Amino acid sequence: MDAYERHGRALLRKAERLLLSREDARDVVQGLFLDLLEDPTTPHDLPFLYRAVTHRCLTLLRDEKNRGRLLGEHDATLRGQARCARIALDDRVLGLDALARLVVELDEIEGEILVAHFFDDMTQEEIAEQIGLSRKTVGKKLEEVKARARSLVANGEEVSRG
Amino acid sequence: MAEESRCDAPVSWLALERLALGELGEEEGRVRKHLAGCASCRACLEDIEAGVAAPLPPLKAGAVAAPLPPLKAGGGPRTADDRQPTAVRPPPLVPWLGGGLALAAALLVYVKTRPDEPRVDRTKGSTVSITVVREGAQGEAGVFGPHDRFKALVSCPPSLVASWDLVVFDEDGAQFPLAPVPKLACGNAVPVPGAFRLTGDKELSVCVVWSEDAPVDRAMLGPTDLVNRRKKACERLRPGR
Ligand SMILES: [Zn+2]
Repeated sequence: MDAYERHGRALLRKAERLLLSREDARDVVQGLFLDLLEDPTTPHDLPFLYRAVTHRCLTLLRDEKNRGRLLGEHDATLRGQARCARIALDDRVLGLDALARLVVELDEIEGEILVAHFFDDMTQEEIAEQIGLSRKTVGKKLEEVKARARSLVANGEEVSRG
Repeated sequence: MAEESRCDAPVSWLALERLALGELGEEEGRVRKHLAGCASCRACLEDIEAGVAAPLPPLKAGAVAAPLPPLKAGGGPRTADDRQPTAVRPPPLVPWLGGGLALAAALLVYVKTRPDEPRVDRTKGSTVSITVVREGAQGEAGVFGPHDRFKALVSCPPSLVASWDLVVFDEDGAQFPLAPVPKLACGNAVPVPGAFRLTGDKELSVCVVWSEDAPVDRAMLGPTDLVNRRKKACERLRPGR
């Protein structure tokens, strides 16, 4: 499949960055492409597929057992990618631990905004364009997401990627 | 230009990936300019470029039925064994039907539109499937014509409590020919209330989507359908002559 050959690596990198597990990243990306094979009307461009991977990773993390498993067994070599983290919340870089704890408190859109901003390093404008919401709405939702993340820190949870 | 020690407006990962693929278009100039002055974004691009030649795991078409293998009923952590390919089984034939629903289903002239097994989707280890049936007259399987009316039959475990919607996906996106269904008494071949026509001259997918927490959000079914394909079961149909 051409789209897999072309975009597979980018999507694996993204899923690995979120899940810190090569094996789960591979499951997520393979599942996505197998569904695409069944439904060829779906777009195959990278921005669309990138979003798809976000939602699939969040779905995986919403499952309590998968969440526990992923938190218990991250791949240390993937943690090394933290050198590339560029967006932080009050000087803390959000990582899998924060993502896993926040995902259960956020709805689909908030979850997507969390990932787009703190993991994909997108600006509010880019997120607004991606999701099809106004910049103002994205800004407001992002503030809510940040407030949740801060309360998590205040409650003593670890919030870091490195 | 002096190097920025800190990157206030980083180039997103998506933009960096697209740059590496040469598909960034008119944005490329702006991004390259930023990269020239920003060591941290450059480091990210280097990470991407280092992985460009990495082997891509083969796509095993047909080997994995769903993105996530179902968790074991006992609930232990996923094991290597769970990752083995799982065969797609047809929905169970033992009816869970109540009397009224049985009657409703029996009144349909049951024309199964596809000779092969319906697409089976799994959630929490359970099985949901859709069968699209033509109302009334006989017709060719897997095909829709301008005069055909169809109904959707859903097979789902009685324990599944969810809101439902019927979505037709074609090249133009998602369409919703029926009213949302806030509740469906799950069972074997339960009809989704209402009948619908299929139009167009392209193949399309008729899907049933469901949501266990909030009502199905139609706005989420455009690009975000990606959202959660595990909560969707579909059948493909093609236009007749
Ligand atoms: Zn930068």
